[in-house]
Amino acid sequence: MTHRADPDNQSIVFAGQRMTLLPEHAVWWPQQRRLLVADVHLGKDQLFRSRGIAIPSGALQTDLQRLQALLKHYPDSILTVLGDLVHARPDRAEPWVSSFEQWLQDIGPQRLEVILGNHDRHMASMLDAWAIAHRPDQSLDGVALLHEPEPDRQFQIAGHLHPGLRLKADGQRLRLPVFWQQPGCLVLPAFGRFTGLADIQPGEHDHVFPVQAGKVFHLPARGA
Amino acid sequence: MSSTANHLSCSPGTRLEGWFQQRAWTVFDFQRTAWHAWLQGQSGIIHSPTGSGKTMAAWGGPLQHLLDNPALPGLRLLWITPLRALAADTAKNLNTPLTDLQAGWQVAIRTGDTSSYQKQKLRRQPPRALVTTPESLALMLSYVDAYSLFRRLDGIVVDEWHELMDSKRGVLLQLCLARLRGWCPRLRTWGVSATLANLDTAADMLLGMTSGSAGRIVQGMQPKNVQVDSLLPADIGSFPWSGHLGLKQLRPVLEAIEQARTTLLFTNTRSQAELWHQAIDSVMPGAAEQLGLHHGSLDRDMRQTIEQRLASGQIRCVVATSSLDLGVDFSSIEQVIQIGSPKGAARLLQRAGRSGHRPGDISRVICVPTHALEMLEISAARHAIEQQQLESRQPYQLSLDVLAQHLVSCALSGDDTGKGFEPNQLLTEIQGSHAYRHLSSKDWRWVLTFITQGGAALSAYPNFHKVVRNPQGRYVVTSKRIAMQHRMAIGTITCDGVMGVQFVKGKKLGYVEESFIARLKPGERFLFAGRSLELKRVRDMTAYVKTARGKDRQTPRWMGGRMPLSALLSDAVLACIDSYARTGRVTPELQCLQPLLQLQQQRSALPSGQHLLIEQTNSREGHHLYLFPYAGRLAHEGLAMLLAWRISQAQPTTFSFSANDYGFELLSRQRITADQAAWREWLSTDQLQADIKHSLNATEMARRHFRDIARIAGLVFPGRPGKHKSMRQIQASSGLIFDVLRDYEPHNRLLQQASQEAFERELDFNRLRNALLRIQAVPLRLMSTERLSPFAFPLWADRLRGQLSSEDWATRTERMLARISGAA
Repeated sequence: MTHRADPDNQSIVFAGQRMTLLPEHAVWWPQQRRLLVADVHLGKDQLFRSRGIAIPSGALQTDLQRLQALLKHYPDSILTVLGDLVHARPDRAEPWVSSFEQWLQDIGPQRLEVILGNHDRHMASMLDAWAIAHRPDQSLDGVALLHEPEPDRQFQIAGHLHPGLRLKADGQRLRLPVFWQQPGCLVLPAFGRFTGLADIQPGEHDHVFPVQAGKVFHLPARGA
Repeated sequence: MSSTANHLSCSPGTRLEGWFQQRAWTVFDFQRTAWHAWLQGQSGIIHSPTGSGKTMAAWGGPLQHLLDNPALPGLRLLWITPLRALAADTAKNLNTPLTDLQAGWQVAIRTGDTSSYQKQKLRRQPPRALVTTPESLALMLSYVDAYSLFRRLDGIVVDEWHELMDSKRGVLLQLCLARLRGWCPRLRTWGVSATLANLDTAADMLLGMTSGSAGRIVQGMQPKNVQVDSLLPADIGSFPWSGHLGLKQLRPVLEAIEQARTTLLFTNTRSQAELWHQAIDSVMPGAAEQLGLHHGSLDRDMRQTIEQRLASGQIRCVVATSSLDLGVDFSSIEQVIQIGSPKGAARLLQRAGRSGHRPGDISRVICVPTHALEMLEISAARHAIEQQQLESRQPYQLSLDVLAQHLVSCALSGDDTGKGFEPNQLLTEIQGSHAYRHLSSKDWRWVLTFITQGGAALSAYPNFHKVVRNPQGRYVVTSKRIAMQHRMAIGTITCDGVMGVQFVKGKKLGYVEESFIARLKPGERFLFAGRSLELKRVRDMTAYVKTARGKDRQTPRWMGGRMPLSALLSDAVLACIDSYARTGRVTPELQCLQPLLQLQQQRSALPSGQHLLIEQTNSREGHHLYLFPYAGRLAHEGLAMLLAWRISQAQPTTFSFSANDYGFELLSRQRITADQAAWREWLSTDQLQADIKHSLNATEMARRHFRDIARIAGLVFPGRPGKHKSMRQIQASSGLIFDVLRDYEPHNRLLQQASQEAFERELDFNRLRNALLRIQAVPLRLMSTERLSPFAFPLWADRLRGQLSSEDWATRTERMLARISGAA
């Protein structure tokens, strides 16, 4: 199961490790049996609604189901969220919290780890209560897992940026979420369904992997 | 004084007429008529060309009434101006007689620029008369004290009403007027409008559908004599067949500028204004002092400086866009030059009217064609103006986004019966407006659900409480935060996607589209505000720049720059050609164009209204088809895509296309073989809507239109850097919200509205269908041409490279990526 060549995925070697970029906006790291995702922003739609902005609910259930499907597809793996699991600290009474807790019971809290992001600032006690392991960052086999990429750090995998790429050709335009691989730094697209994109300007040595219609594409570095 | 307090005088104007005499002005009959009508409590429209004394016609009635009744309490008159930039100038004009007649009070101003201290003061001590904008009025109506502030109004004057008619601002204003009429049953409503074709609609929109007696239309002065001239090229042989900049005519334009004391030079787009300003600047002696630039993206201070210098005659020439179509009277302007086709007769008339401001003067406008075929358009525009045919303004109907915004405002305020609104009463009021006269109870219920529950499905919107129903059955807003959010977002003018441009040292220059700045790297140069600038850095939605030296620079392109040729003018162009073909009748422009028309006849045929010309020709690029339905660029783009799709159903093909106001081109690798019958089928109106939806990316079009709708309906908030930190967590792009709604609430009425607006406004669907209907009634003329005809050439030269194909998204993405990597 680990090395099955799926045409919708892209395999890369990062920090000497083979990793697979999945169209689910996740990275599969077989050696560590890790699934990595970033920027889930659970409860974002809920916050909008409570502030009077008419966003339908549904994104949360979709996101939880997508995470669950990943965990099912890669048994015995750990899912590490690279920050911003939630959009804002919820009240216990908020409806989405019970959905999440139910989901957590189904997958088992030990399969989830959280690197704290800027949106998770006040989440420590709540994560403790849910028995979810959390830390500000983590080092695995020489690779730093963190939320916000740090300028002069070698081999890091991060989120936070919600990277997106504008494409234009033949009078048509697309704006797609991307995996952004800079030398020594891999940034994941945001996982949550209700999250936006921030356009990136890829450098000469950067590989960009846009995701579209269930498939990961590859835009190779210009100055390879 | 001929009247006593609290009694409406029927012989108005002793003091007013005296004031006119003092100034040695004549009172025109239409002014006197308008004054009488006001004093008798009537409503209506004053219809008169720019600079003919409209303002005094509308102001005289209320002025006399207030002079005669100095003890009347409260706010008595609202004067609505479409541009906040005009507010100060308007107030100054209204105040002049008040000062001269020692009335002891002044007209006040309230716009988005008014300080919060002033706003508070205006609420505590209401002035007798207030100049404001539709957005500021909507905002004032959302305050709890709105009813007590407005309940004593005698009337409202809406200045330049024609400018508001075909926008959602006009819809918002109609709702505000309906509200005020509900509160003050004897309210007079007067519109002031320049020349306009559909006056009855204008009156209905302004006065509402409930005013028992139809509105009164006061016809002002006869339209001024307008003289339309062309700056014809000396040699048509070397004049370009396509293009839109027109700089080839720089030399003769400069000569024309030198011959007049002051010139207002209009361009159609802001980038064209920048480029013309730069070109004139490089050749005109004394340009630094004598030349100015004015367009809507420049900083307000810069625009005001130019306006002042223009008004006082200190400047020789100002290059401007539609930003100077309106308002401020510049009596000093001697001549108007229009670069490129005006694309509409009404617009040309409006612009011509900026010169020759004294009654009896002739308004003269010199049109400068930027390519050969534009000479036809100028000739047609002159003809239309002579025949007094002008374009109608097409109002918006049943905009649910504006209605949703209005209902939240009503829930925030209240009336004499309590806080918020009672739904049945409000529905009656709203159905009294022209825009919502056909509002169905189904749509009404949907909007009520939208503001109370968020969406149709009850369970889908937990914790949503924007507007709540109180125990008395009234709809109210209880959250202070929601109230604040809503008031910040009131109004319908979209300003998203723009970025401030400012010198590093601090001076503000104006605004450009965010997407333009996004393509620039620091160090790159661009032309803006008449200067060469270098981008230093981008921070907090502001592009910081410094003055640059050197050439290779780009010019920003603003969205929505190019207008299609109006339907009226397209028809006039057709009439011109038909009359030329039948009788050989020529205007100066046609005379000049004649060699080209003859060449067209030699190589092909004249595209006219008597047939549909279809040209077919081959080149190394492939097989070209040219069709000339004269339906305007937007409809032609739609037709091109429709035909490409229909043809590829019969013969699988990939097309590129281009479109202009005359026709469109389809380019394909394979040769299209078709007889008359096949063409008739492809040009039929059967299955039209369905085929169009298949042929173009309707979702993308709707997504673009959803931007405005989301903002107006309160789903996204304009980014205001630095301010309101609490808003940051609820920032989302309209595109994201569009996607989420499509996934989880596909029947949302606002999504439907976006599709419909895209159809009507972006595709010009009615014109498209009318063009096909017209084609059905005439013969098809299929011509094979050896070389491109003069009408085909501009299409060939402007090709958009809009590739149409039936490829799936994955293949397209691959191709786009391949193109990017290949280009590197």
